[in-house]
Amino acid sequence: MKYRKKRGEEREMDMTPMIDIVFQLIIFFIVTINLEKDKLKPIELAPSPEGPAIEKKDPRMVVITVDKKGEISIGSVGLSAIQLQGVMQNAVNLHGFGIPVLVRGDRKTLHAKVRLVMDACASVGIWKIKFAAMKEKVTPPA
Amino acid sequence: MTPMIDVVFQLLVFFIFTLKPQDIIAELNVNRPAPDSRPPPKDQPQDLVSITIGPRVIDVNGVVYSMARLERKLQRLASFSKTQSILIKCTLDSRHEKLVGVLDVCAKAGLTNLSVFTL
Repeated sequence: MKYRKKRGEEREMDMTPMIDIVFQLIIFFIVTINLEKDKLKPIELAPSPEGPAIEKKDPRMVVITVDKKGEISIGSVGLSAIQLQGVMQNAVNLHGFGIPVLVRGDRKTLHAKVRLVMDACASVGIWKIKFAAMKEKVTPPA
Repeated sequence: MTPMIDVVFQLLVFFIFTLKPQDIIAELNVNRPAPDSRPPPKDQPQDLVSITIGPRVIDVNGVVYSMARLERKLQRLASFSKTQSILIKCTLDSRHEKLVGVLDVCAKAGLTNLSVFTL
């Protein structure tokens, strides 16, 4: 591409780079906003500096969240104790009794609420449960 | 070279924004006995360690323990046997963090045979 210098006449500004950047920003925000949606419910885990860190994630792992108010959810779907039992029954039918279950309980939630989750698991034959706890906090509190 | 440098900068900015540091999550394994199983017999054998977590205090076989003392006791216990079975009983109105705190102390001592009951 040749650039010609026209004297006495102003060159028109090239808009292409600006449009490029605007498109990049649009794409960036579309992608990152979708990422935010998949996040787990924000809860405050109780600290456990000595607990073993989760090494490898089992794709079958069922992650059950119990928030501060005691509401139970899997992913972003809220469930009642009865619904949870149905979900766990399905999980056991699919993968057997050895399916790993991780309970993320908020540190302030009462044991009575966590108990509902444990009972739902026990009633379908899952005896082994993992509790999630904060080993090392990196991200600043929201 | 300019387009390549542009792309590299774009990638750099993209990764700086998207890669957030991840918290390290610990997992504490417990057993949950069946809810309909027979209640434990009243005359518990002496070698059974039963930790009761109340809304305020933690007691072991009926004696109130502080967290530091509990930790020493469990360390001593673990020096005999790491597979010693430990019953952790939680009252309904205790906070979840208390249970996690006790499980953390057990994990530190290396005890693995933990069962959680609800009172």
